[in-house]
Amino acid sequence: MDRDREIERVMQRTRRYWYEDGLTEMAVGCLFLAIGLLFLTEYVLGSPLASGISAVGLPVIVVGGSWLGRYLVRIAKERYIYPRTGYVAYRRPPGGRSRTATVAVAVMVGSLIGLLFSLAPASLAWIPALQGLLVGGFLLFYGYRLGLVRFYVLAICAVVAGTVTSLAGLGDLLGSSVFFAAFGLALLLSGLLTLGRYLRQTTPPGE
Amino acid sequence: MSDEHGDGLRALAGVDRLIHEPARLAIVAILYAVERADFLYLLRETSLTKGNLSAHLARLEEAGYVQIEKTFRGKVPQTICRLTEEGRAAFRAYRARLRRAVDSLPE
Repeated sequence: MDRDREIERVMQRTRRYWYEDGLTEMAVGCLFLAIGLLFLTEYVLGSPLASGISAVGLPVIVVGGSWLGRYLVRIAKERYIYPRTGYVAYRRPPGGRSRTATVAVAVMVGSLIGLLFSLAPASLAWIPALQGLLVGGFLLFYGYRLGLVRFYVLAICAVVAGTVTSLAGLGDLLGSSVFFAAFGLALLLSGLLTLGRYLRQTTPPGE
Repeated sequence: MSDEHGDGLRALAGVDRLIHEPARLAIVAILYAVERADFLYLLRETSLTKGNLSAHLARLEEAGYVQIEKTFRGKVPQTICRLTEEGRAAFRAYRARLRRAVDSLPE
């Protein structure tokens, strides 16, 4: 089955190409940092107004930041990556499969959050650990699908960061802030190192 | 020769030879995983020369498996390649035949 394995390897490498420059990690890292800063602001201010700002700010950061991140990553790829190693556009997953996966993840996350809140206030200290598990699970899935070893390392970092933050007894708000900021920095660093390696290993055609 | 073994050999004999050629198989496998890719990406991934890659793409285009579009990125000319629906179906059929053939071989 060598030829079939080789075909699978070629297709996996093609899917992995999007992540080989580290730009996506840097964008997600910045998004996580922004979320961490938002939680920290809410914790420091500690007023109902701060909670209101956080409640409005979180969806704005997640939706707006994702859009901005995608836009900036696309611009950077068009300017620096595609002229060096080529342009690729990916197929969107079929609507049905994508919807099913989204609903499954939403139900799982919702159930876990519901369980935590039903056991509040003691269980709220475990929210950073839950965040670490979710982020770690996501990275493990992508690491396996794309054959990216550094995603496995990042997954372990996420789980460890979440668990340590919870065990430190910082509470849900400060704990979440520390988790998102720390893991955002880890993603940013990983992305920068990956980008550096990519730029060292590749040259634009004709050079 | 068992029936199963015979079926496997028949499956192997019937594989799409246009796709079976290693360089073209690499091109088709890459394009199957994406919506579209440019000439430079295919060149780097397959390690073929420009002339060889052009020739293989032309064969695949002739067969209706690949669609090639010449465009510009700013002032730089760009050749975008994509697998047609016929090409996708042919690649799926090729893999299915290959698996059937290999599965039927004696241990």
